[in-house]
Amino acid sequence: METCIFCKILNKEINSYKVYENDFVIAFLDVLPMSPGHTIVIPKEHLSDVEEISFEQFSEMTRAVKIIGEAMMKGLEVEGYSVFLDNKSAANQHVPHVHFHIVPRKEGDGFERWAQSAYSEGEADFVATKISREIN
Amino acid sequence: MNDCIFCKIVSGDLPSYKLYEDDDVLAFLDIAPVHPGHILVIPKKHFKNFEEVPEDTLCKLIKVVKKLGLALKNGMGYEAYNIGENNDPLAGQIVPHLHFHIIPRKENDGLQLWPQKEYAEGEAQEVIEKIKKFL
Repeated sequence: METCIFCKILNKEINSYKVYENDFVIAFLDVLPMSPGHTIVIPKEHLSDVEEISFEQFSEMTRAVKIIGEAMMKGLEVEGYSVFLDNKSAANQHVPHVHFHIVPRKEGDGFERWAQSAYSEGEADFVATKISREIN
Repeated sequence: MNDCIFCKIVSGDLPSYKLYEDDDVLAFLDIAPVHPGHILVIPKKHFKNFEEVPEDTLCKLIKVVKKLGLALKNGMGYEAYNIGENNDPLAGQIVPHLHFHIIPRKENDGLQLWPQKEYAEGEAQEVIEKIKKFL
């Protein structure tokens, strides 16, 4: 897509620090990293979110995450990384071209998980039923 | 693995709110949700992390994540969701059995991404060279 910043990176209209590329995906450094080595993995085709992407393309992206994650651990000597994908703007997706983040992690980096709560009596059952009946 | 809480959920030794199951993958509600409907997707076989899981199992997992993400939005009326996997204890992985979180989201629910900052001059180049050595 012409106005998409990730498509511009793909077409080399914008420079990037490329980490990995194959026929289906490309991975490059996030220029505003949460930690050094923070990498973005995108499909080469412009697809906005997980709903648009095919199972096969999603699998290709995930395979690339595994490959890059291992290289990241060895190359940057980190003992873990967080993988996330923000699907749609309400989930903090800022660029509408589906992408995984891989963020190298270190002891004491201060990245907190979001606060969790408990279900009230009967609520989990109700929720599970609502989701289950929409599974195709 | 005997003392793994997720293996016990797979075997039925511990109860769960099960959402989806096939030969290789199980999905159930996280009982301490960030928002109601927070889902965990795990391989039935015990693999600790991305390093241990074979590619074909990983692909089966991610397909279920996609399927369940849509059901979560449609069933609960959410607009969006985050997929997350904390790989290894230093990354905040609490249960050492590979799992994807699907966290449902609503506009302006106040959940923030981790802070970002810029690279120093030359730092980004150094970083990719270190990673690419192992690709």
